[in-house]
Amino acid sequence: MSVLREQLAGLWAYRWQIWVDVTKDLLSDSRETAGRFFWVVAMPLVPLGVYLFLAKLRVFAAHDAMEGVVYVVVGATLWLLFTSLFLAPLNAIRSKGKTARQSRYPLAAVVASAVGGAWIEFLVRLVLCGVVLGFTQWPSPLGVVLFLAAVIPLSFVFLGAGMIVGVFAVASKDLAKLTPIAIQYLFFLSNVLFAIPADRIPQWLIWANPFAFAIDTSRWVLMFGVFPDLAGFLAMVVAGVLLMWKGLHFLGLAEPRLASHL
Amino acid sequence: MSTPLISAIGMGKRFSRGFKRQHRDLAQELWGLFWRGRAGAPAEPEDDGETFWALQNLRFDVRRGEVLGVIGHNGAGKTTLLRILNGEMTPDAGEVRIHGQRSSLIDLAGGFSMTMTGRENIYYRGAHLGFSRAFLREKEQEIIDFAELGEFIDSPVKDYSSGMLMRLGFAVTVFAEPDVLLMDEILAVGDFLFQQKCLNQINKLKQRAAVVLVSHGMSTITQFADRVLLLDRGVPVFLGKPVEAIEAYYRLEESKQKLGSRLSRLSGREPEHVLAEPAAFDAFEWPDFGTLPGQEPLPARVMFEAPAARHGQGLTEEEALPVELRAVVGNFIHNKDAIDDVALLWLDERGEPLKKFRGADAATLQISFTLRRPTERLVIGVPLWNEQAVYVTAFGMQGRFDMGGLGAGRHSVRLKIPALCLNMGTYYPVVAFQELTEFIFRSPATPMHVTMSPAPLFWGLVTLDYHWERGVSAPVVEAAEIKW
Repeated sequence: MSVLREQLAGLWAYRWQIWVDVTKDLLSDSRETAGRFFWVVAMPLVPLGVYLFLAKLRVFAAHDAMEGVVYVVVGATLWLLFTSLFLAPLNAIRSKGKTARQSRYPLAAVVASAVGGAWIEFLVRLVLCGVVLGFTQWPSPLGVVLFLAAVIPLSFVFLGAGMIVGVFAVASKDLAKLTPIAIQYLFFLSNVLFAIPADRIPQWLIWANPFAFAIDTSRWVLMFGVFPDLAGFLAMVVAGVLLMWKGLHFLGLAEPRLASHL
Repeated sequence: MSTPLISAIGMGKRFSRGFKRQHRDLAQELWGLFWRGRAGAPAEPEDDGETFWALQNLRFDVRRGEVLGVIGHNGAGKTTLLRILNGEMTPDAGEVRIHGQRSSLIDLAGGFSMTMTGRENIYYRGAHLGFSRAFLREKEQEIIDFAELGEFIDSPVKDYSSGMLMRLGFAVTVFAEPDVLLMDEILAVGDFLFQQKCLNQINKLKQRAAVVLVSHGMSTITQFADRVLLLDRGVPVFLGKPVEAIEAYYRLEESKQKLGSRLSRLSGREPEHVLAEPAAFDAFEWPDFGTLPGQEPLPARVMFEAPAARHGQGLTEEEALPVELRAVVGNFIHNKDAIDDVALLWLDERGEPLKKFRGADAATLQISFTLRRPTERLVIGVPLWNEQAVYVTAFGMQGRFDMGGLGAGRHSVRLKIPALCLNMGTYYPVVAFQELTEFIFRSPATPMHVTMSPAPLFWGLVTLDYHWERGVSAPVVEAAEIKW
């Protein structure tokens, strides 16, 4: 427990430094452009814009309970958040771990700044979701209230698992290469753009995929204000808290060992 | 006595050869950490030939206000030690205890965001070093003033020269006012005046911090260190006063060379990367040769055969000099149609081959060479650099000695130096032969390891013969040429 306490105390002590990192990552790419802040907002919307365009063309199968555009835009927004959170530790440790260790900046802070960036991009995309919903299908008022309350604990699953994978990926370069590839394939099994018909793929394959469960649950909560599978949701929240605890603890334990391999 | 700020207790570091083994070991450790909360034991025995100890059984303390110098040959483990103290690596045996805030002057230009301005980078890099926003606000102007960046502070650092970047990095790092300071060489940052500022700042930090300084510069070590740790292939072989440690370093080097030459004689081959082999001099036999008037013939032993003449035996010109010196020393030349078999021998006052260079002693350099054709006018020069690539002096013939025209054949000449005047350190002579305006030979000679300065207390590179007077014999200056 002391490792975990140290990790949390470190994150609190480095909160300003984490913010500096988050803003630097957001602003540095658009620094020398004419429309600086425009690009900060526009870049996260680019993938969402592509899915929105395809949804308007009715490329994907319609969903019974909600507009196709809503299904795709909300699904893609959630997918981008959850996968960003899952990959954030892996990418952050690989790209910034060495510099951080040289200045004894904690790896947990490096991960936290990457997570901060992922959440800011999510909030930007959420604004576009709001615009799309406003013009197509209004969400349930209770759903709007419950949405973040569902998304935040569900995101713990992906962040916690991402930290564990991110640490092991330092020792296994194959794991570091395979993880993003696996994520790309999971995209088609996660009910992001279309609900996969039960007769095509066994449904357990969909429901064993935490991305599919988290995206479907969050989207349903937003649109209708109810949890389609409350027991499943609660189980996933418990799993998320445990994975977060284990991931943070493992990162703290492994950090000194990783130093010479970064 | 104050509590040590740095303690190494039986510390060791093991490395694996080959990345597969490294990754397998790490994976095992991580697996153990993940499931049991402690690192997994290595699966194979440690003496399987795939692993080696880069550092072994290090024990030392460094207290506030103390500077520990670390010396040793390449591969001795100096950088590994510094990386462990900096928290970049963990020891595999024993432990290291660091009390207080650490700061390192190791990679000054690293850790900057190239698209940000210098001012923004003060905050960005400062944040990574753990400084608070309030502290950086307070120190911002001091850092800018110290780095002498002026209006460029608001330009992106990608437009900075490497010197500007180093100055900014140095300024941000030293203003941390750390308890523990780790340095890899005293940094030559910027111009002379800026270097003086840096040295002043480091001297200020010395008063309040425990400092570990890794250096190849023996003069730097004697100037800064209170105690010196000598490492050899990861093993501590000496810890004590700087002068004694440096002597031990040179003794170690000498014994390695003797061993190398013995091995070479046994195997009949030249050992690789061994430049000076005092014990191997007996191996060379030279025929009698003609001498200059008034000169005695060179003994039938050579101390050093210039590297350029040994190319066929595995020694390249690049290996003859430290990396820092290669650029400043200039091209190596050997016109074999004009000159060959250049041999040098340092002699002491009694005319015996010199065993050790001491700053106060006289020394004679005897140079023998074979001219392949008559020369109209030959001039010899011996410029001297130190280990920081500073051009110390040159012993030239121009204006001092005229050899006149020389016929083909073996010749010899002596350079007599009444007192070397050199302070402790390693000096790199280059022997150059010039015929009219053309160099016919130019090559580095054996490095001179000066193990004792002319005086117990010394500053700079040389100690000239001088004395101070007071009273009647030192009248008050009334009409000075220069007054401040």
